Amino acid sequence: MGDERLHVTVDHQQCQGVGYCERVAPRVFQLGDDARSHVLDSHPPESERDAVEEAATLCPSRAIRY
Amino acid sequence: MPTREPTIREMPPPPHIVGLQHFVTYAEIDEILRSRSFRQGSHQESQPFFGRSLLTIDGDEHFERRRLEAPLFAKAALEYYEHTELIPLIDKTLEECRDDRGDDGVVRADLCVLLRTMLARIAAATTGIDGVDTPERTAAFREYVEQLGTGATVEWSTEDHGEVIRRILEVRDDFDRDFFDASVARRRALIERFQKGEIEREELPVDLLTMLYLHWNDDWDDGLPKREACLFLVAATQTTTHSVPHLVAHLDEWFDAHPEDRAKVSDREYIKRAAHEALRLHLPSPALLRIANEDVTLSNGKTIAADERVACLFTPANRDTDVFGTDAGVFDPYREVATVKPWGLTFGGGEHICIGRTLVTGLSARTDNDEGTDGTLVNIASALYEAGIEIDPNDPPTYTEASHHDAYGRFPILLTKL
Repeated sequence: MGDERLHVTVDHQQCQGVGYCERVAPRVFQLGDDARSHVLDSHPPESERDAVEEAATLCPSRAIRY
Repeated sequence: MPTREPTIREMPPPPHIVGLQHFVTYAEIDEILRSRSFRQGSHQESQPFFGRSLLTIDGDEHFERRRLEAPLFAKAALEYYEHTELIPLIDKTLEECRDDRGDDGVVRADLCVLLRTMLARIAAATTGIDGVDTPERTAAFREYVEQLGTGATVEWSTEDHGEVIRRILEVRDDFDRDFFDASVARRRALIERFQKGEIEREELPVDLLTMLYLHWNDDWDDGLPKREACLFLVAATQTTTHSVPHLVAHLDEWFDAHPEDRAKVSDREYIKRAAHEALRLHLPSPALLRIANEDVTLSNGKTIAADERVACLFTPANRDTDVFGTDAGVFDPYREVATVKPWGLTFGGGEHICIGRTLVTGLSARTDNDEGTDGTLVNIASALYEAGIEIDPNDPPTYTEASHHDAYGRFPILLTKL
């Protein structure tokens, strides 16, 4: 069985800075002054999985991997 | 042999954007679309078809609606649509073509009609329209979606706009009677049973209409599901229907100049790159309008006054040499684009990026153990090349005259391997 621990990244070239990720997963993502989403915790606890998955699906530019 | 029309045309701006300030570079349009200082300014005339749909709302309302609808484009849903609704209908449509061979043994078809048929069921599935099952019902549904698309893009019509709206509203009444009303009634009955505890959540359909009625918002008017459904039906078909003919025309021209590439049509990665070029060069929505919420000065010094409506012209922006290279105006399936998506602004930008983009382009892997999806464009184009698609040399494709869009109206093809 592989390592299923969350590993969250944001592709900054694709990120549009809309900030939906911050709204649904504020403990994992934060919109920076550069109008890009930044990952606050690249290995968040399992309790954040649903929020990360929603952020990834909701992201208009689909810039989130996990 | 009849002459072919050029694959790249210079399209004059449509009347509805004449007089507005135009933005044409990738950077300035990208800045406008990302900015919170602007709101949606498109689709003023097409309100009867799109009003208060996801496309036309902004800010918190847009966020809430998008959050409601996003699960329809989650990975599992995209895989379901692709494998259960799209690929079987592609195969079935090609089988029907095979059975409809001409007296000379050659299989002929109009690619525009073929594409709308192939996409009918996936549009119905994502929206929640039942009864698109028999060839007759599929043909009727396909015709309705095409007509609704005419109404939804009335701003681009070369006909009298008031007449188009009147005519298509009548068509929509017929669509309601033949498809929409029964689909809504079935979903509302299922939701009622779920709310009484008679069935499980998993037994409800996963589609737009179910989502809307399950999470009904009292701020919505009764007609909203109809307009939101119109958006989904048109959007689920329009981009692919628009792009595949351009892709085929470009590849035909490319293979004449690069015959060594002809064998690569069986390579899905090659088709994907070519499809991205077709998307970049021929936008289904070539211009979007935005209204400034306040006085704005862009990074390049250009100014926009509060409440000014501006036009973002995507066609020149998607051929911007600063972003796509010195040969940005031509088709090249080997183009390398480092900093932006290969299709550029074709799906818009900022919060209004097309929610169904992944349905068309596929979803790249979200996790290390994920294979993603290929999307409608690559699945359909690959199947057509496997079926031996060739442009009919005796009946060249022609562009539509009913719209200012850069779209083909007829695209006669041969399917030589069926």
